[in-house]
Amino acid sequence: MTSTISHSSPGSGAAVPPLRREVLVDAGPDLAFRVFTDRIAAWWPLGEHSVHGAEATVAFVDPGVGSRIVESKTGADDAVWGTVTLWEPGELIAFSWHPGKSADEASRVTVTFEETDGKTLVTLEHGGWEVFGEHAAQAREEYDHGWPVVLGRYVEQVAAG
Amino acid sequence: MSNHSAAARVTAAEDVFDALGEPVRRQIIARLRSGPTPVGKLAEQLTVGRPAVSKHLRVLEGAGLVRHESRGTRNLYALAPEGMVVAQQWLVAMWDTALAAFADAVDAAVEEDVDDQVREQARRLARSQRPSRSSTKRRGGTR
Repeated sequence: MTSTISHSSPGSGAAVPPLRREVLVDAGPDLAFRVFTDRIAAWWPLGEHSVHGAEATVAFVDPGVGSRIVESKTGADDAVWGTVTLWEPGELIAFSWHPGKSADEASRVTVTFEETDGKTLVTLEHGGWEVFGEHAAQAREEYDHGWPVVLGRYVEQVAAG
Repeated sequence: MSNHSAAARVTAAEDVFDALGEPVRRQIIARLRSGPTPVGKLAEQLTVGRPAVSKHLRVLEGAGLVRHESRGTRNLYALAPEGMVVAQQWLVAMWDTALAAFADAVDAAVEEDVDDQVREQARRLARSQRPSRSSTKRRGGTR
């Protein structure tokens, strides 16, 4: 079996399924989108998940496509977590994701905002795991046949457990 | 569970991500999929030397991604998929924590919005009721 993973077709055909989480919020999609983007500093758990810790802050700089998600702290270098690739207020946002790593080690996050009965279903997909093999050109075959299978197996394990 | 073990879990997950951030180490993982393999054989299949392979194996072992076993005089390395589970669980926990905090922030924003609307209504009411406001200055006049 030969499977070629194309990073131009997110999700489809990728051997490693994206991680998917959902949350239902009690607000319309526009507000939910604004809170996710404009107010990320107010809710992102910086103490647990950041490069510089709780004293840092984070923002979508220059909102829109091309916006960078930047964590900053006085006296420390800015840490770029990712770059926005899709920005559709009230509907979806997609960005590359590489906190603490360089941009060429980025995976992909897509967040959709969907109105349901006056509330908004926010679905987050974290995928693009094939990027881990992207620069191992000489290991292309191993990557296609081996790496996604290894990853896929642990994803299955988690799903089963 | 103690805080100590929670911290240890985070460290373990970061070790996994760091270990996987290196092409040769990903190649080693791929090779090991065919079964337990001695270092010498891995080194033959890879373009880096045996000392480098040993070094990468130590990193992978430290992250819990591979383990080694001695069979006679041979040292075999094999995959230990539990390390991957740690990384995955860490990611799931991260997004769950983040999204729960996000939902709280939306609730707070909704309340603020409602507060803003109430304040705006109060302002409009105040503007439209100027005369009656001045009448309230005559305190107790109607009692």
